[in-house]
Amino acid sequence: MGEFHVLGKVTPRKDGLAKVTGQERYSTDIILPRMLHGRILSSPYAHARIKSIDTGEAEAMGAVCITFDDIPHVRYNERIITTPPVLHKDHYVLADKVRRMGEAVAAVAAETEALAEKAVRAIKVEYEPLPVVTDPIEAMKPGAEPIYETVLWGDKEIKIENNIACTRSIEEGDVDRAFAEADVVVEGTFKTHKIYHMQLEPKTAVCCPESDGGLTVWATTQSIHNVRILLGEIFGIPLSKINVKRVPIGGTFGSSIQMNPPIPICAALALKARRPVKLTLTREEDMHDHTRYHTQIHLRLAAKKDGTLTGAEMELITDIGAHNIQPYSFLGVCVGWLVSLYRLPNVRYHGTAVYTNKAPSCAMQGFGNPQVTFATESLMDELAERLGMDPIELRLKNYIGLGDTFWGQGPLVRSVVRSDGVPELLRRGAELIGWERRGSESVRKRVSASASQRYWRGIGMARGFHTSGAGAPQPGDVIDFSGAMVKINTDGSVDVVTALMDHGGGTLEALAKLVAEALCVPLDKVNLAPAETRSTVYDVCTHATRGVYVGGGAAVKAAMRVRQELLETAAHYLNVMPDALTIELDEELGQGVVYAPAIPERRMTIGEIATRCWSESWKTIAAVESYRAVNCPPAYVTVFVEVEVDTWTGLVRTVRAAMGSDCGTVINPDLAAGQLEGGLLKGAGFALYEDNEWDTEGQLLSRGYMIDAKIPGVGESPHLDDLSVYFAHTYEPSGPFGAKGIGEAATNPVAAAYANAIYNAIGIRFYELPITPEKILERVSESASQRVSEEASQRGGESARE
Amino acid sequence: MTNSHILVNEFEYLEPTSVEEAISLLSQYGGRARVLAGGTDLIVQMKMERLAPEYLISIRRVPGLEGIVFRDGDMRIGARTSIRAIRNSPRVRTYYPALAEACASFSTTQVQVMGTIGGNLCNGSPASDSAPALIAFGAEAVVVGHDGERRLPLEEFFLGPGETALRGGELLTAVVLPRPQGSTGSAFLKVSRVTADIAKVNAAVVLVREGQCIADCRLAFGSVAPTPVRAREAEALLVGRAFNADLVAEAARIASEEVAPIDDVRSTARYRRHLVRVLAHDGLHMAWERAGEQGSRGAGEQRSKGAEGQEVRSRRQDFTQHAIRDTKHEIELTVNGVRQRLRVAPNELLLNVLRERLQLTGAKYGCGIGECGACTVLMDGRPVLACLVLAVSAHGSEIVTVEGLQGPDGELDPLQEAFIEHAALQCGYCTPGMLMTAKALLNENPHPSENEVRDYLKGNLCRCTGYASIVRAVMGCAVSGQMSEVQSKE
Repeated sequence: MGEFHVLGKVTPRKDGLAKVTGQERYSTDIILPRMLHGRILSSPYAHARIKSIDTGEAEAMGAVCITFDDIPHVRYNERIITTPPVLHKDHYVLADKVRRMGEAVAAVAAETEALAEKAVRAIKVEYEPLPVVTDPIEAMKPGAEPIYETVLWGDKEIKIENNIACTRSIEEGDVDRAFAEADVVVEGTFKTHKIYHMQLEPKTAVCCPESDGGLTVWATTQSIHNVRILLGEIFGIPLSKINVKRVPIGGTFGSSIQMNPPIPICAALALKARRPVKLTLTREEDMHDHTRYHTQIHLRLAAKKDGTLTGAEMELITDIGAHNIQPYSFLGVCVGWLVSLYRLPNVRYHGTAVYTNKAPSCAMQGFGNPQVTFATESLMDELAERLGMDPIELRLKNYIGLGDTFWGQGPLVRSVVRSDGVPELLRRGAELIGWERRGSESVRKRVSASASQRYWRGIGMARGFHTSGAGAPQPGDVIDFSGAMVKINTDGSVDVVTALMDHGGGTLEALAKLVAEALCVPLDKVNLAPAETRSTVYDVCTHATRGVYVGGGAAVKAAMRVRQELLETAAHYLNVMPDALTIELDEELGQGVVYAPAIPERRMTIGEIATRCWSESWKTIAAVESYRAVNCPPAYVTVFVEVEVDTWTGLVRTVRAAMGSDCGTVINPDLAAGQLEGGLLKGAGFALYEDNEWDTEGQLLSRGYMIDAKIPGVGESPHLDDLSVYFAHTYEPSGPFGAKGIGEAATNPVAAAYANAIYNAIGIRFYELPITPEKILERVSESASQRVSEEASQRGGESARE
Repeated sequence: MTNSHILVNEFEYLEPTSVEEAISLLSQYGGRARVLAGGTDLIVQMKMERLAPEYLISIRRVPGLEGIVFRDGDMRIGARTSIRAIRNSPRVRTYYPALAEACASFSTTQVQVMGTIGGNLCNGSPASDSAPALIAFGAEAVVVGHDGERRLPLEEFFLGPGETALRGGELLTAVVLPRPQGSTGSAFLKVSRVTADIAKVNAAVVLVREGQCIADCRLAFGSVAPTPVRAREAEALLVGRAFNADLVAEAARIASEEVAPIDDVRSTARYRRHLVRVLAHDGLHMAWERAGEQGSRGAGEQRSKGAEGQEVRSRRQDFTQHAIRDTKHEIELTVNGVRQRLRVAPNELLLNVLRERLQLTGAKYGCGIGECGACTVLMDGRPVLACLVLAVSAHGSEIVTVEGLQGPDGELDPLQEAFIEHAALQCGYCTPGMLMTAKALLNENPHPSENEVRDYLKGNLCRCTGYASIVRAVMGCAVSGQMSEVQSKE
């Protein structure tokens, strides 16, 4: 472990200056010479056949138009994180048939956006509206309108029956026996909704056709390489001629794991127009384009009297909307989120993914983890109450920690836990929130005893985790590897080149620090080079909380090779055996220095070594590495939250919160704290505030306007003194300098913590998100009238006895 | 689907310079024209394509419409007075606290700055925050038409959603509030999905206290009927009775039966009806206590004549003839200290002019309808939503974007430094808007409290940080400003 010279220290982020001065160029800010503006013709129906399209009038205005006839008829899956044989493909660049409101039917490019808008409105489309399916349960019933006839499964055409996109089942141990022999069984049906990512930058692409028939692309994406592969596949262009630039992204939260629909549309427009085209979705289009996975989860847990969990049964149905963005993976990881949180020797799981005529579901911070953890951690509290156990004790008894086998993301992703901050997180969080103040008596009774009291406070907690990537000892169906190049310049500065994306959390900042640490150079000497697909080795995608652990692992691997070469080269110049040399940071020189501790006068700075290489040896010290992680260690998080419920209005106020993370070595404490603070509020949005409903015609109730799609603002965040964040003191042996992930873990348990705190406050448990004031009030008045009738019948009984 | 990047609707833009001229334009164009004041509602409706006027009649150059004047005990608020000016008026806060509270609860800082009281009322929204407070204070609408001026009680001004009593060729020029009598207490309460939002229900209570008796009382509610409404039966029950908890509970129950709410995307009819009861209860108690506190503070003090926030004469120069009817307009803007002459179409938005024509891409499109704050820039020192400002109506103004925050030699503004130091940014997309709003705050109030920071920034959305680091940065900047002030004194 030892002392770090830069890791763990607060350092100002390198991209801060560009971001506070307005110089950071996002995809929406790209302006190219002779650039045209694109617009999409989006369907006004959620489900319809396209009978004809007439673009004559639009073309007469001078617009370049594309329809289904102009695009390659290649079906694809926008998300290619899974190996090709298990990939469902149901998507075309433009719709063959409309399956959701706002689906792209045609597109235009014109000199100005105003002209493009006029042109797109001049396109005449004849639709044949079809019955709209919005409810996933109804969608599976016989006779429901089919949304697809067939899709591709790998290269094979398969039939879609009852709108079921895919299913997954897993059984381990003897589940029936576990439940038969259980002392206590708790169960519930939990519903979570299709909330919208609300990344502030709408999905955007700028495509420039090159003279060699290739394309240069600037786009909102979490994976430049996957965009390149897909564009190559769809348009039949050699990958060497497609160059996707890494551009800063204005938030994503999972919405750009897949290749966004505007990217291939923009590419098709640019290829046809033979001019650069920019295509930016409006907010209203973006809101119709993607959501978190809806889930309906029936979960049962079996336990012994002493609190030992013995089994679980989970039935999960998810509404995936109009397209398959890898629900097969989703169904797989969802059981992983359950069985990796607690030791469950006997498990039965069945998951079903159902098509509807709504916005496609895709990953959103946690990829099913916030949904499953809401169910698991709510039930754990119910179990604790049934057993009369402290909820923290129950969790400590059953959690998967040091030395346990960990399923990570799913059945094929297994490894052993080697760092575990869970006890520390729980202990510290309990102290910070004042766990001892939490009412232990039966809360329901308390509320009944004093019905006139209006405000009730409650404390709740929940645990969660996310995997640091999807690495595993065996090849599975998830692609997960990264790469980096590290290069020493003659002045001792370092260029780091990686295809890894930074969504704002500071992933690239972390990479710079890891490389600075590995090479013992000052952080300001490490430069993060701009990146593009043709000059970087492959990285799958910044997702799955893998940036630091896997991307950082790749950078450290390359840096270590460079370090070795530095030592060997210096050994030659200094005439010392390489193994006798070491590198240290000389703060005064602002340089890394290579020397032999036994002969300290034999020393050279890294800059001197590189300069002699340049002038005498004619070589660059550099290394390119590709890196596959063989683990995906759990980044644990605990959330403690105290709420105040106004039982007259149903309003819930966050009184205070304490969020703890076990992310291994903390690379930048301020940025790590930002992940926790942001995770809390996004989790609170999921738990309490954000709603995203459709009517039966498949129209979003908000119609895509932010005025009716509220996310938490500063007014919903706790006051500064009421929010604590803290870190466990752990070191992950398999991680780069002991680091693990953090991002998604921070959101995963938040909704459950709120549900548990509300239960603790008013004795009412909520199984459906969001827990709105309307729902709270409904349940409060139900329980009040129940109480009145109970009291009345009690009085009746008493008078009868008299 | 609509396109909130741009204004699709094409129209002629007119700038009359007198009430008479405005009225004559209004009568000439009738239903084909709309009056443009702050634009925070009209431009949004046009972007949503719920309105498509052929003529926009901007009243920004019509004199006599802005400011708060006290005369003979009455308070007259010019129709173009901003929500922010009313909220900040010391006299409104003293004598009409419910109105100040209503304006403070309004949407976002930027909307308060841009939006006008007249615009809010003429919009005819049942959910208006200002209307219940004004109605509870017994306000009258002052309407001017060809036949001169007429006044009507404000509650009669509203006819239905989006419908007002304005006849063709009429302009709302002011609202007049009578002097509060004796020991008047008032309160405004609102429940919404999040802090910066339209009300699920709002309520205003104004009552006059005589000893232990309620001498007079008005209860008004928003978002529970096709128009803002009074609960007259509840009022009748209360007036002349001794104040007590049972009476209040009964009045609140009656009020909840008088309203006619509906289910919509924001809430349910059932919940709204219930909230009316709770808000009536809370509002009555609050107003009663305040009436007691204010006690003898009668109308006497405010008899002094005076005016507030009147006709803020900007540095705008007089270039143009009174009504512009060209299809393209020549405008002049000073952007980050540099004069820019541009020809713009009437429907071009300031945001697109800045981003595309001047290539100042710092200000961002986030929602197109003024809900996220990412496009915030300073216009004559005030934070405005560039996605809702017509470039033509920005003519003559001084604009500062995030690119103009640095000093002449590129030195960072202390706020920019504080954002870096406190890691108050992640993806950075909201940062320019956040910085410009925070800058306006610190210009107005160099040492804001945490609550003041939270209130001012309530309309700037950030999906990454959870806001804690942003609040810390703004507070940190204020504190370090204070430090350097102290140091410079030493």
